[in-house]
Amino acid sequence: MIKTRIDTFEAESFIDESFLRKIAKLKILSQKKVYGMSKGEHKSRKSGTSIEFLDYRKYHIGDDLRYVDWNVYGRLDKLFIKIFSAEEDQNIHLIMDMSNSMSLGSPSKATMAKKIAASLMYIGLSNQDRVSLSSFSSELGEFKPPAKGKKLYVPLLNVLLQMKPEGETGFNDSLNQFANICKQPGIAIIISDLLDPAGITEGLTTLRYGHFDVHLIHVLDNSEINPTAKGYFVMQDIETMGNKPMSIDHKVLNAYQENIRQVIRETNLFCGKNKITYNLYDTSTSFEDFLLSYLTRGALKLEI
Amino acid sequence: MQITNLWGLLVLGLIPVIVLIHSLKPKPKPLRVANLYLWQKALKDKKGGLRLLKININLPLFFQLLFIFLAALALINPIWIYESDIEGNVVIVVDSSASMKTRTPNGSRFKLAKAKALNLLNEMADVNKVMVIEAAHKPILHQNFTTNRSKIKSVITNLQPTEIPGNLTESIYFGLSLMNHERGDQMIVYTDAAGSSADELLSLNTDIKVERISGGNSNIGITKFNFRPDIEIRDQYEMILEIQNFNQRSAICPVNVFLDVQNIYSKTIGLKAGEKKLLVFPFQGEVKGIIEAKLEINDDFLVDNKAFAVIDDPKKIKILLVSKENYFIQKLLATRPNITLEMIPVIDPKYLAAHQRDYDIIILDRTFSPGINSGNIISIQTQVANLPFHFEQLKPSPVVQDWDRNHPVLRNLNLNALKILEFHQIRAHKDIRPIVDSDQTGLIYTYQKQNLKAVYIAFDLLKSDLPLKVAFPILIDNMINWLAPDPIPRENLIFQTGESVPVKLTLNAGQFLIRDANDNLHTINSHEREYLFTETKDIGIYSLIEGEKQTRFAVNLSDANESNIRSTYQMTKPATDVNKADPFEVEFYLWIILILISVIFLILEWYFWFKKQIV
Repeated sequence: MIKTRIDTFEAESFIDESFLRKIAKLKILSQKKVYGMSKGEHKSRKSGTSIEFLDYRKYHIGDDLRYVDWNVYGRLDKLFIKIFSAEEDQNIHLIMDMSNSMSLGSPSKATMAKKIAASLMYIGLSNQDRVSLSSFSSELGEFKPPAKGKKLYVPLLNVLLQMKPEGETGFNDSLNQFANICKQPGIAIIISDLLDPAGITEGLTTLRYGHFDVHLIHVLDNSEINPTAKGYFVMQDIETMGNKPMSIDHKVLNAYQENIRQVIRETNLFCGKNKITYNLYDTSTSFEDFLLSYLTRGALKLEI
Repeated sequence: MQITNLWGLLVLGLIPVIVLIHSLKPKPKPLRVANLYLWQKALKDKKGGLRLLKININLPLFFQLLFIFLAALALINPIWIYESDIEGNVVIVVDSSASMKTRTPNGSRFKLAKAKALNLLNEMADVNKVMVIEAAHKPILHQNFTTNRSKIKSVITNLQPTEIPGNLTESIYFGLSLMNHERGDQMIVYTDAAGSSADELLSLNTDIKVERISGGNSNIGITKFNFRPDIEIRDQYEMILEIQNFNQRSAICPVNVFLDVQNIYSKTIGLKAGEKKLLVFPFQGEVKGIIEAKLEINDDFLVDNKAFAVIDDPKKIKILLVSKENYFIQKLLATRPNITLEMIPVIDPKYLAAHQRDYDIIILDRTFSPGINSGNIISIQTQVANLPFHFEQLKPSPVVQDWDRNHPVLRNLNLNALKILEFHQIRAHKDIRPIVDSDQTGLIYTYQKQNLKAVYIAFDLLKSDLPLKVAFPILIDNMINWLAPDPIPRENLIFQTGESVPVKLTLNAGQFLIRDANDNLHTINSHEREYLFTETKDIGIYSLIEGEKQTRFAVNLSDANESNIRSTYQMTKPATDVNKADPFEVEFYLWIILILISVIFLILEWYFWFKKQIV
């Protein structure tokens, strides 16, 4: 009981309350039509019973007679069913990279990724969307299936807060596993530093194939984008724990920066080609600004 | 090599300290990264790789160690000791007198002298400073003391012989005055010692070493030459030609004299050993041009085988007489063959500039004149606006009291009994003194300022008995000669090589040209009307070109001493031989060089450190 109370306090203080109130008015819209489990506020790929007329079709046995257009029957003596655009709730899948590389930075990339995820989670739950939460490192880790209701925010936030960065990154394997497990497509928001020498394209392609509307939030620490450290170092890979003595001068720095820029360029290009929304987040900037400014430019189609 | 301070090696003890300090550098710092693969790729992309980087990092250490090492070397004060033949500085005197042009089987004496001087430079230690003096008719300092060997060699290589009688003594004294005898400075004289009066000086002074240049002893030369008009008989000239045999045996010498290209005299003379013959012969006829006396022999010294003289027409003088009439002046000037006289009653101001340009002298006789700023003026009882003479009232019967007998205008004049009916009192500037003074005010004044020269006569010539006196033509002639002199006096158109030629410019001081015996043009800018031309280095005909007027003069060697190309110098001490001279030790302190190099290394160390900081 005491622990629950502490967790609640910790969860509520994780993000500024006023900011949460501000973003509660936002909606996350998918660029695709959603497959929901119950009626909601989002247009579904299924026809349904909302007030927006979609089409006619011939009556089949078992169809709800309430949707037969009796006027047409009176004129044509044939039964036609009126089809309306169904408005369903949408699934928002928050997929967190919790590999060891996310622990880098101060504050760490993982912390900032959690804040972004918590905010998006709050937006989804406030709008009666079904929010799932999962994490991955070398493989898919914890998976909280989609659920709706604002009261789930604190429990989900606690789960989020308990996620610890560990292990190596297995981006492609993890997303493949997620696509297999999750049979309710929706908006898949992947928050990761994308630092996987094996690449990321395979996992993203799998999600696209599974009808997910994929949003990629690329979280990088500023020291990874614009490193300044010069001198003689022993470089320790935070995931593989491999060591490499290295003297860094401006030429090495320039070469590294060119490499990281190329990674970002190529990722952006790939996302553009595959209709994946790509956003780069530098953890040196505030995540609030990132959400309010950067995402309103069209990334997540926030609707105020 | 000598080391004077072994304690300096203690500084080397700093080397392990430096190395220790560098080894105490913090170990490579661990740096946690999430993308080592990108860093490795970056390192791979960078050219040079890690090894080069490590060298780059250690460069300051290398330079610091080098600095310590060199500083220690400097502190032990190493002295490089080597042997040199000359202790102090060296004054090289090269005789460039005419006799150095004597031909030898190995080239001219001057060429041999330069070769020996250059050879000495090659053998001399680098620390010896060297000065180069050319001994012509006067000493010419070509290079002050310097250790720059290439500069000295260049100076010696560019020396040229002259055809001037030498003055070795003066050059030696000049060199001695610049030497420091306590330091052990030495003078080395490259000379043939021919015709030199410096034998005693060369023999007795221990600081002087003589490199006698010998070779070529055969010579017969012209030692005197002149060709002059007979002052009593028109078109009658006489020539004087002195020829001397400087050989030890008798010789036959054909002599020719040419007037331009026309042979006007030819004779073959026999000369005993050392004999001198003087030939004087008259010449009848009109002479105008260059006279060249030539010995038709091929001896070792060619310079004195020719001699020149010039007979040219006297200079034409254009005079403008501004007068209604003046019989005496007209008559007198008309008799002068070289004077062109023109006469006008009054001077028109608008033609004044043209008159000033066209006429050498303007005579203003009892007229009026606008301001004249340039030219040569004789003003006879005429007020010229801008000149500082003002006519006042007429006064009767002045008595001549005194005159400046040394003034060129009054040369050879006696004005004692001069009677003047009346004259204008003249108020002149207080600084201007009359050259003829009376019991009242001055009677004749001269004035000279920049390009204006004037003679002021305060009385009417026709109201005096001056035109009836012998003094009159002399006065007029003196005035013309003073106002428009011959650039070079006609009675002396033959000069000796090296002799200065006094040039008097006719009108405006400014630019004029002199073409020398080798057809080289010397452009001369003179701010005065008189100039001294000193570049008479070669025998031949020179031309003074002033506007359209040209005056020629001849330059000859005409020096028996210089023509005597046999050396009179007695070798009382051995000639300079740098290889045989007693060598002495020269100490060269290396610490300065070592300190300089170590400072360079220190600067390099700082540079690499600084470069690392700013990158």
